[in-house]
Amino acid sequence: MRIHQMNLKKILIGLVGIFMHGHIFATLPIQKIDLPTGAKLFYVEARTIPMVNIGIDFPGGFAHDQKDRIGVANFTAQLMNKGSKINGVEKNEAFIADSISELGSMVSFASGKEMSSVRIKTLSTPDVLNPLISQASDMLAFPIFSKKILEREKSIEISGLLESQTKPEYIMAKQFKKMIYRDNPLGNEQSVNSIKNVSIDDLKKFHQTYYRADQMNVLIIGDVSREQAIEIGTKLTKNLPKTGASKLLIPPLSSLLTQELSQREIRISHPSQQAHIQMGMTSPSRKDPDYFPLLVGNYILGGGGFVSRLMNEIREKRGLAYSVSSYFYPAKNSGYFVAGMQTKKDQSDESVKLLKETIQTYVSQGPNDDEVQAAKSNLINGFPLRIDSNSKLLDNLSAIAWFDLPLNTLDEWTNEVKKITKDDIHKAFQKNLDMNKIVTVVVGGQ
Amino acid sequence: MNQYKTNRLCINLKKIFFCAFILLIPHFGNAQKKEFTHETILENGLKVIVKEDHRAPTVAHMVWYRTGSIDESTGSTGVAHVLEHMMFKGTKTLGPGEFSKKVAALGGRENAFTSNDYTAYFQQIEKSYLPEMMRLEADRMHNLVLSEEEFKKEIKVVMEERRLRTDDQASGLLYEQFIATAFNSAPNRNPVIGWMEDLKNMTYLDAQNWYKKWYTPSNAILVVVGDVDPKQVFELAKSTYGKVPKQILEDRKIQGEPEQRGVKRFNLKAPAENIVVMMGWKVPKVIDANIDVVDPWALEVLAGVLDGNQNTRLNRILVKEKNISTGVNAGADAIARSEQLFMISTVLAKGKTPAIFETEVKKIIADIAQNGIKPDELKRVKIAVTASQIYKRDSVFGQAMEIGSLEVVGIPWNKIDALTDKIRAVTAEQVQAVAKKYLIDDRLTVGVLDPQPIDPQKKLANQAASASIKH
Repeated sequence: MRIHQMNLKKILIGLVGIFMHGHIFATLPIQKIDLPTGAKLFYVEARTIPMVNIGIDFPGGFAHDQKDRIGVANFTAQLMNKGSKINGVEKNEAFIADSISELGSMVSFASGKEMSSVRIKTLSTPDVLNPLISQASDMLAFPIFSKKILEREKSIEISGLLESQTKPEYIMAKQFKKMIYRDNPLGNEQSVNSIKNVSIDDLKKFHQTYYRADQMNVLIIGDVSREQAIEIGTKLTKNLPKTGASKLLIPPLSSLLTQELSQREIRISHPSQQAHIQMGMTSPSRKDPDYFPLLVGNYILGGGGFVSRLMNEIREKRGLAYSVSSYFYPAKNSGYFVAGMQTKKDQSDESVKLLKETIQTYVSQGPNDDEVQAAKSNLINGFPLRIDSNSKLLDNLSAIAWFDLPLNTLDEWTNEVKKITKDDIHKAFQKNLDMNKIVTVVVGGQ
Repeated sequence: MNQYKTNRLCINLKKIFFCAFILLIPHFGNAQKKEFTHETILENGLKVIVKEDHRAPTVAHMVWYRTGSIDESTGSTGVAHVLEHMMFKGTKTLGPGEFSKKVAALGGRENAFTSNDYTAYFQQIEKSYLPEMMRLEADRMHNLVLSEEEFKKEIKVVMEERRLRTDDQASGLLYEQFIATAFNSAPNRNPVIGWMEDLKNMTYLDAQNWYKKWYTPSNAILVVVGDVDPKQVFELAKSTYGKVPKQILEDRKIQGEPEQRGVKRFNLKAPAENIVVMMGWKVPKVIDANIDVVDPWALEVLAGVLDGNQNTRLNRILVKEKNISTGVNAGADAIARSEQLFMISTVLAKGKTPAIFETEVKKIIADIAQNGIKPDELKRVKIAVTASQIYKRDSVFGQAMEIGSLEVVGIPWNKIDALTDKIRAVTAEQVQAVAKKYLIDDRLTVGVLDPQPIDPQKKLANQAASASIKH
């Protein structure tokens, strides 16, 4: 396989519009409903396949953990399906796994930087859907956090973390995030010690504080009516607290400042055959007006799969890397830009130089007309591929709800792209990227 | 995650290398409505399969070639995959990279992948651009221009890919060594990406010969799934692919594997933190597309019983109860051209030895061989298979992958339902029987990753520790 276009996905998680070359097709309408439990429901009706995709997102991630016990959000999520009171009776992890399997369904819990989330995939027939929702509702509200299971999961997590710490890509990403986030809690990363500090009480407290109905976006897409969706959303959140102490806000991330090269370029030795290279800086949030100019502009620089400038300079012309790309990662109140690649050790200096030159030239001169047209053409024509399955629509719903975007975001998406001019891109890049601020990390280089 | 793994647990190993996409498709399982799938064979031998799915105005367009790394010969390993890269480097009428530019301008997503058994190319695109995709893909089926200059750049990219996926990945190295140890003569003993020395010695002529030999309509299958009119697609296929000249395919020599006579073992040293153990037994697969067999399906069910959800036997006993493993995977492929292994692999918990793991795995297998499995265990595997038939309909691309990956090994799309039925028909006794018959030492290979510190100064301390991981 030639390359994964994951980076592209990251940028674009959650956007989209309609309408190309004359033929129009409307996106499915999103309905937003306030549930009696305090949760907000985002619902899309999709009846052709007898299945339902459900998501629940709420604030509460690594960034909300205390510095000396980073991992609490993670372990809370991990233990949510490893024991709970169901219909008032204590059930163990074996029961939970098998009962969900017997319904042919999938239920998962996860935590990220700023948010925790639940994902459910199930058939829509009542004999499956009803018992599943009832069990998931109890799992959300009445987890049993067992010390034995926590200790087991902690030791598995530590094994994985120690393994990661031997890998150049992990060492690089960790150093990069440290330089981007500095003291901001968004940069929180688990360490062996912080994991060891996590206790059952921490999990209970985290669950009480963050698993709150009033903070939850419930996302439902599939073969259910509006009334059923309301019923499902209400049932899932009804046993959770409606309010709580508000510790949910994360302090804003300050922009990176101009620094001496020696302060913002880090080289770490490693015996790997390839050097791993990453460079970037803080960038605007999802709701910033520069979002679309940066999105279209980055397609040209390094987002556009096989046809970007970085791909052309690094891979196509010189064969220096298998994968090279750049993306803007827009988060709720902040974001960052990153470009990266891997190359044989003795080519690392040449590659760093080329990456910098390519970015710098682009920032200072901007794109040309053909590039802008090709980028817009790709994004607009490719729009239907962003919404052609329930699971892709769920990702879009999640982003619209999380970033508090207008409900017609999908309908307007291609219009927003169409409006972008060469000048908009040039200005947005000049405003947001600065070669005197960009930090660089090279692990395993010359 | 509470998710029953219905497909390929050994994919967890393979994805390290190439077939990341295979994760998307349960091989088996499909409420395949026959009236929505249509097939024709063009005069030049190209088989065309069209499946209608009118949910969204998009389409998946794939061409599968019945040619993968197992068709390579000694000294030229990796050439199937290198050619896949070269297919983006221009034709008589397109310059290097222009193919991708054209697809991108139309909003398409494209890629290609190579496995032991096949090489496939695809685009996902808004439906009105399908004709242009067909024109482009048909063009590179017979008009590829393979220049020495482009080859010399691209072979460097492939070597970077090898460094990234294999040489700098301890688990990748272990898997590569594992299949090379398990098989003596079966050609999938060679890695899909090729040995580094072979890549260094490869020339553009090797790629050219490969292209001439295999890239021909009668060795290919066209699969189109999405919001299309099958008649129109057939017409388009005739006017694009239909123009590619017919060519007689050389007979393939079947390269089998001699009978194994006793357990094989090896250790591999690489920078890492944890010990990894892989165990694999030689098992049968479906041969000559004859799906009326029992053992390969029973082995699939056995994999589900061992590693379907968090509470199946391997996970429950090794991870949850005895804390020997931090995670464990099991699986086998019933449908493949290449020889197959039933794989169980793990990352060990700190302080646990490969010997303890092996003993416990063998106990779990012996229990099934002697006492069989419970009705509930069998039931859960079958429910997962049934549910996956519904879920897979959410992905147009996944449906195209399913059809292509079966057709390419000779199993027609209209047998997809029958495959599901085969799995559903497996009995507890049959699962017990295959555990007893195939998961025995004489068919077994065991590979152990002996982790080395990344800091060479710690090497001495590690050497003392590594003595404990020998079996």
